[in-house]
Amino acid sequence: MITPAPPKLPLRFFRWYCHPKLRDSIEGDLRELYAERRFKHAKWKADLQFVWDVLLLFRKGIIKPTEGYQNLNNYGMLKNYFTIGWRNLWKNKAFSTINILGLSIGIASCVLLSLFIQDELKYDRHFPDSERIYRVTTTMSNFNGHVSKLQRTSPPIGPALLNEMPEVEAQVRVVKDLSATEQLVRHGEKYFYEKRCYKVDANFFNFFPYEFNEGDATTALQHPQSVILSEALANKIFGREPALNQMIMLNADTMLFRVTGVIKENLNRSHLDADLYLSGLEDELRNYTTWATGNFVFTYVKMKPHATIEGSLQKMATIMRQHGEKENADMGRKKTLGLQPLHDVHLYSQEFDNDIELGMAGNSTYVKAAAVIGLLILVLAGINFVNLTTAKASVRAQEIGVRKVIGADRTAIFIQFMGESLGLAFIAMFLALALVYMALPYFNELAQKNIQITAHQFKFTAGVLLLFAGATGLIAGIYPSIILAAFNPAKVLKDKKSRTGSSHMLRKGMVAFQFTMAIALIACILVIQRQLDFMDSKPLGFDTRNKLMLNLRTSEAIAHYAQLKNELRNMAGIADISASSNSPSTPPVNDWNFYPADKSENEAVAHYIVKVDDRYFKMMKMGIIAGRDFSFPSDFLNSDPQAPRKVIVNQTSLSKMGIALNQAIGARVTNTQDKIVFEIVGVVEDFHQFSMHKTITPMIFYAFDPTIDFHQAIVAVDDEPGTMMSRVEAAWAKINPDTPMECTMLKDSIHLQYENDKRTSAIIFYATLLAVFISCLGLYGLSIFITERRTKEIGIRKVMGASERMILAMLSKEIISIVAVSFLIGAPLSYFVIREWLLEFAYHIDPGISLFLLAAAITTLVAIIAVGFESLKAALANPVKSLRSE
Amino acid sequence: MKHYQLGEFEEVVMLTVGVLYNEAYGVSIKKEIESRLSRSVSVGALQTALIRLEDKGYLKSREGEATEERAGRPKKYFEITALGARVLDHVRSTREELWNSIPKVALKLIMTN
Repeated sequence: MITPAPPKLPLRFFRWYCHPKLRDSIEGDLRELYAERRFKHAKWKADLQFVWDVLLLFRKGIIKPTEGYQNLNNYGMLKNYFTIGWRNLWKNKAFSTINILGLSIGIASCVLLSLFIQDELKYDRHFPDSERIYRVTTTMSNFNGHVSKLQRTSPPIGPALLNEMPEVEAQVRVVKDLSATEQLVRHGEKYFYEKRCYKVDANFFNFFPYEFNEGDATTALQHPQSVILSEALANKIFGREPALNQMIMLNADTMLFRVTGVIKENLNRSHLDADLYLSGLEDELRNYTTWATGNFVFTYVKMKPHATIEGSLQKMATIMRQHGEKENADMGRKKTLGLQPLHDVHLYSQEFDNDIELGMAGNSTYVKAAAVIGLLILVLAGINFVNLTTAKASVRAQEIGVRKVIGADRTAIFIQFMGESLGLAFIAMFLALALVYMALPYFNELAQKNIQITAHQFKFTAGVLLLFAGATGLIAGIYPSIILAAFNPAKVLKDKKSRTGSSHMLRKGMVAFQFTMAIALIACILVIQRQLDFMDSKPLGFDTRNKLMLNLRTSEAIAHYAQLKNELRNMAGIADISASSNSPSTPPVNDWNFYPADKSENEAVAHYIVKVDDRYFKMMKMGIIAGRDFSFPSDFLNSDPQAPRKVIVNQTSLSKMGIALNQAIGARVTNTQDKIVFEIVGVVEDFHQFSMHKTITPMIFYAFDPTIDFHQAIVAVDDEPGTMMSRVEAAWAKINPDTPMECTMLKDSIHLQYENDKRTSAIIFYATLLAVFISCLGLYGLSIFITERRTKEIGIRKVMGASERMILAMLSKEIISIVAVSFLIGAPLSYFVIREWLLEFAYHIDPGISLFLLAAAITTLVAIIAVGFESLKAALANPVKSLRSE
Repeated sequence: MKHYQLGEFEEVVMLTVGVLYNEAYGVSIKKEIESRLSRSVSVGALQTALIRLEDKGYLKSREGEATEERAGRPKKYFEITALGARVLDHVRSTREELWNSIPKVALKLIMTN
């Protein structure tokens, strides 16, 4: 009898899923049953029952397990790797903690800095055709050789380029109110000071599209007296109410503006982001026909796709020649137009006059520094990993020996340790993610950023995390893995004490690298701190103590200044009050060229103009070193139109114009713009009008009518300025009921100029802290290991009569020598880096060797603390203990 | 004596293995249960129960001969282990204890109903 065969397909399915150990016996049962059923029933019925049985057998316990059932593959081995790796992780808790903590700090700092770099790099790139947009720049070459570069240009140039150059597709102009850093925005009882307020051409939002919450981008700027608000400002003023068609009042103009749009909050960044955009720029600029002065207009042009920059620049030069050559030559200079790509505006605008820039300018140097610092911290953490793993290698030598004897080849061992290193890196990665989330708010504050890990940022963050974790795991793992894989099993197993000494030098080298970086960073911090202290303490040439600076911003406040002066003068506790158009630490507005009346205008020198009120120099304690102070009101009334205006200049002005101090009084100077002649009546001692970044510039002062045009009143108070502030405010409120008082301490305002430097210093400080911390972690781990290995030696030494101090000295000697080598490399390195930074300041300290020695001392101290704990424990231990257990 | 886990079907399978003594393999167990208890048993359910019982240590197996109708696939014979026997005994004694604890009257009433 031929045994009937069951249907093939279900049988194959069964054989595929069934556990191989059960497969044959159950198949036998199935076949037996099938044969019996075929005998009794029809074929289809037996088939059906067979299929049914096969399906019912498809259940847990019978299906073969995915991980396999016998060692035909490496699953079991892989499992073993995990077990061993995990056990090692737990066994050496100190090492694992140091490794994972170090790596996660390294990865977290890298991710944070990548977010920072990404944020900086993506400025202005979201605008359509942004690669074809350029900002028109101006280079002024005075005939005396002085060159200044501006990122702005004269009002008619933008429209002229559009009309006369076929390459230009569109142009738009933006103007920022130069007289004040902040604008007063009022609606009803509410008022706010806003920094970012730009007046723009009507096509601004076609050129730079923004998404609107309310209103329409194409028509929002069509009518004069329109204003478009940012979502944040609209919420501040109107809360949840719609802002459209509401009226708000702005500043000095005390004119009403109609809200015609609200811009949606977005994550794209641009240097043109603002809180208020005002319409009506065309009308305001219509009367400007000059091609020489009035360089306060930020002009953007969009070139046609095929236009070349060289060709365009040539055409622009021609246009400039046609329109403005004579006008400029009359002023003693040549003006050249340039094009700055929009993409470069945020990071590469340092060469321009940066006192008036739109937005908060970034700095490509900071971006590079951030990248270097992030990678440096990661490298330091990676070095810890390599050091500790190779140091620990000897402990695992036996395991490797056994593995090799059993049959593992180099590749297998290599893969095992690479896997361990990658695994560790990924554990660190998750910790790093948590660290990034926790640190982000603090980082944002430190870097003045508003970085958020939102959905579309998350992809980037996760990518960066994976990249850094993977790269660190791979790179840090390669060396130890190669070393470990190369162990000779016979040697390792025969002689327990056989240690690999080959990596000893390398280990020392890497620790030296860590300490080189630590010393360099600490030295940088010390120098930066010294420089900040220097700027704080250097005499500025005038008295900053107990001075209140009141901003005169609205027309009301300007008009009532004289009244305020009278009121405050009579108040007890107030020593004096004066005013100027530009007090120290406020941005300069006027930059005019003057030349001695007996010389040609080719020798004109750029001066900052400051208009001052009565007793300004006296109150500020600025020394008049020749001639006299202004006498009011005779010096500003200028009763005799034939007599030249009286001015006071500073020492730098005299030396730049080549006038000797003893001939200065009575000397005449002429300005290039309208050829007015001035007479010098006094010379003021040089003082620091601007920050220490700038050398003292030539300055010219003239007396001015207190009822017309001052920007700041300065009040000198006798005692505690805090209590005086409220009394001054009361007087202010009485005189200027419609203008809220805006008051800062002159000292604070001066300090504010160094905010950026302080921020840089803070960022470097934290980076240093992390770097030193990570280095010390590594050193601590190594010291545990070294003392562990030398316990017997220490025991014997103690038995032979060594004192604790000798043991300590013996153990610290190595560290000290490493620090010494690090110092020799780190000190010059940091000197070269920090000198670059110092050169940004016109006035800076000269870092002596003592600062670097101090850095080395700090590092040594920290290193000894890191090593000392374990060493001390070893030195104090009872030698019997270490020698007894063999 | 600790808690033994034995489901109803598992108990049936074990008892049947006992009944069949030396002849207990997949098909014979299935047939025996089907004929004695007149319920149908799928191969899947039976095999899982057998595997589980073997895992628990109540049954042990050995490979037997291969017949022609099984296309050379060996039979897998099961027998009860000492532990298995103890478990069966335990189950039985607890049952009997329960039976004996039922008052005669209660049982009679139920029966007559």
